[in-house]
Amino acid sequence: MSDWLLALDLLEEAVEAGLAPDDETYARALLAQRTPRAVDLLKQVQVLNPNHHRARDMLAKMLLALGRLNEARVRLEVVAEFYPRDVNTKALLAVVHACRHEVAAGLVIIDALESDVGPE
Amino acid sequence: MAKERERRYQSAGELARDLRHYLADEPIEAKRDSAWYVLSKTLRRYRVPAAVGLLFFIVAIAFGVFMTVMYRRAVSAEVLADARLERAELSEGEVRALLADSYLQTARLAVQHREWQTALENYTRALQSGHADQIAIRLERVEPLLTLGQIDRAVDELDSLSDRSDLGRLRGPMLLWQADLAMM
Repeated sequence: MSDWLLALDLLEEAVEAGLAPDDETYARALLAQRTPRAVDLLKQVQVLNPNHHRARDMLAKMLLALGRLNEARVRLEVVAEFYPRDVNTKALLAVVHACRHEVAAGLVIIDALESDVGPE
Repeated sequence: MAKERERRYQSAGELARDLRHYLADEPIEAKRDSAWYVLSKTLRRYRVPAAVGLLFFIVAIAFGVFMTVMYRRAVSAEVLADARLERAELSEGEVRALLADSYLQTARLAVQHREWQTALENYTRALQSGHADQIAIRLERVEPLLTLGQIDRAVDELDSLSDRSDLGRLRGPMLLWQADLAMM
């Protein structure tokens, strides 16, 4: 169960304790008051560290939340191309397809995921 | 009386002169046989036993020399072996450290490639191999645990880490993971 207030406290505490530039930008993205600002910061994280997977996944979720489905799909498809064995990317891509009412494409991904990590 | 003519008095006069000197408490001409002469004569008389004795003596000396050389070689070999053993023990420690570090590098590479199962396995191997950086590895292992849906293990790991007072620069990243977990 999400506890957003606790998360915000922890994020502020983390920034105060000291983080690497990529992690700090990621934390500031999560603390951002507005989603477009968060998106910008998450894109900055990708520049600072192309392997910051949490930021990449969070960016896809934010784009989904903003309804920028096409951008989310394109980003996730690029990630899936680079990392074919990553379950997170596939799951997010299935969600994007579902949001775009592309049920068949989403189900293909879900079926592939089941063979990778099981039905859960 | 000596067998050799030259070792006797050459005339009765010489004998008489030595007797007069003796009676007058004066030094005489005749001399006692030298030790070397006596020894050589004795050896010549007992030629076979002397040869056998000499042979035993040479064998004993040779054996002594041989044993001394062998002892010195054994001591040198022991010192060398000890040094090699010491080096071998150090090498074993180095090999263990290298192995643990190679597991860690493999795990990090797997994270870069988003191969989470491989990452998790290699982080665990690095920990089990006794890598020196246990806290950092445990924290890094949280990402594959969360991604693979092993939430409870990730929570346990973070809870046990958050109790530590020696996190240092890892306290910030640890709090960030806790925040991520709180948002899930």
